[in-house]
Amino acid sequence: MKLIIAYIQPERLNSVKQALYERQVYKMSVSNALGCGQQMGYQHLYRGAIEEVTLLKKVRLAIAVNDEFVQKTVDGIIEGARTGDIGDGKIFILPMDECIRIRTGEKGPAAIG
Amino acid sequence: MKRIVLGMAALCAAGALAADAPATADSVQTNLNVVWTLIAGILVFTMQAGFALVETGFTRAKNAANIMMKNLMDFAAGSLGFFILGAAIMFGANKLGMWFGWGGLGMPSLATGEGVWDWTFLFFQTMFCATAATIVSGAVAERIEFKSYLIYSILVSAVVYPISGHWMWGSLAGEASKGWIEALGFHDFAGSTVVHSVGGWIALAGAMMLGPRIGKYRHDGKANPIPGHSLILGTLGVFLLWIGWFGFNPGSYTAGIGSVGRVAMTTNLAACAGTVAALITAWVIMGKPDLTMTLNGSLAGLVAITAPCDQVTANASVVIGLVAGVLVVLSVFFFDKIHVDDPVGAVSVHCVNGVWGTLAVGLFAAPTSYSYGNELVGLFYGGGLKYLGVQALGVGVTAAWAFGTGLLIFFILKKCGILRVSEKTELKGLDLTEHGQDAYASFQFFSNM
Repeated sequence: MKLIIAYIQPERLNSVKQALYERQVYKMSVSNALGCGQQMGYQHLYRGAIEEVTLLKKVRLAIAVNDEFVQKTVDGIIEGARTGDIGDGKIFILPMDECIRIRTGEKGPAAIG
Repeated sequence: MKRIVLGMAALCAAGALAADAPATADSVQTNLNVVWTLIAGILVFTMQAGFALVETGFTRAKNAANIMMKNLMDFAAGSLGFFILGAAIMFGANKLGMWFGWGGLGMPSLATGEGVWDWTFLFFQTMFCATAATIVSGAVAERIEFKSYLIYSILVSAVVYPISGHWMWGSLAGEASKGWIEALGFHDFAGSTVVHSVGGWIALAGAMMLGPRIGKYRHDGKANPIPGHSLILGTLGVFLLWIGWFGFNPGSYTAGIGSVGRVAMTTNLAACAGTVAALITAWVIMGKPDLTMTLNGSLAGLVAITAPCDQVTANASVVIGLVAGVLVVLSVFFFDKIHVDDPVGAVSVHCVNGVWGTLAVGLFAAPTSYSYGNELVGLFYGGGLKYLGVQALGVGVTAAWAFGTGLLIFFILKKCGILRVSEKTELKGLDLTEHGQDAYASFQFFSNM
């Protein structure tokens, strides 16, 4: 079992969702995030003054998958999020010790299901 | 009471100054007309705020500053265009038969005119022109390039609206500028056709030329909802528009007379009937009472009653409003079905119901007409098909003119490659990309559509 965490451009979320859906990855949790990486922020113009925005709006995906779904999920995220520009984001894959479905008490791969 | 007495004294004083003679009943009436028309014009200006809020409320947060900017600029640039060129075309003396007026750039004749009235009239008409221009903003929202919208605003206010306006309203400035459609007996009291359907037809042309927003239609052809970011702002906008309409319709007498109150009443009744009818229609079709459709229903009733408000009875105004409320909901579904993406329902409200309201004159015009010397009577009062025919002609000619020129303007902008923003800009939102600004800085939104 792995936990896949990805930071992507907010406007790519829809196409990532679509790409994951096509690979039978239907479950995810999505949250707003602020962050910075190589992109170095952008300039925000307000009444003639330039503000350097360094923390950018990103979307964070967290997806728990069984091992056979890791590659599909990664492929889906890349297909949906990649534009070729700096700032497309990153994917992290973490080992996951346990997964428990609260409603039934199921554990392990069955709980990810 | 004291205030009223003071007010009357001020009016008399103004009358005395203007005429350089003691106040008479006539001079008081003249000044009353000026004051009411001016107040009504200011109320019509309120509609700009209403449009801005409806359009931004019905669209996404990432485009809110862009929509505000468009609403601000179509008024500012459009008013200048109307002053410099448009007013001369619309209200100048006839040049090419009754097809075109010309009064000189910047209406120079006004400066030496009879004084007070001309400028009030121009002010009032400027507000109407701006209303027609701003209707389009909602239909093309979230994907049109800002500079394209600027070019469109100036062209419509300076040329397109004034030419068709001259055909139907030219005589408001005198017999010498009478247009050819109104000469046939066509009646559009406050602008269901002159203002609203002109704006609505151009809005349709714009929405068709632009194509739908990314993500609006699924692969199977069904429409995806793209929810607006603030139904509160949208509702406030509709209330502001409704207030503005109490200047739009009753103000169109441009006179402080008793009939003003009756027109305020027919206007309000139609708006309420439109609201109720849209609520019920949407509820029956979708299973839930939908706020956005109901708000469209209020505006539909208002647009529909704009042409006939002075010639119909109060009872008829309710019927006109009810039909408008049903029409607007069906029309929203229809345009979704044929993949014309109109984020705020501008075409359904202004075009469809502008047409309906104008035709309604030919159906419901009562014999006890309260308006100026219009002898035609509607079909339902035994007037036969003549009045309806004249109204239909006006509707058809305006449709051809406004839709045709709209298509042409947006087609040329498209060929120049500046009509629609890039995919990346559209996804990121027009605020950050076109303007480098955020309407809701320091708030965070999901902007994933």
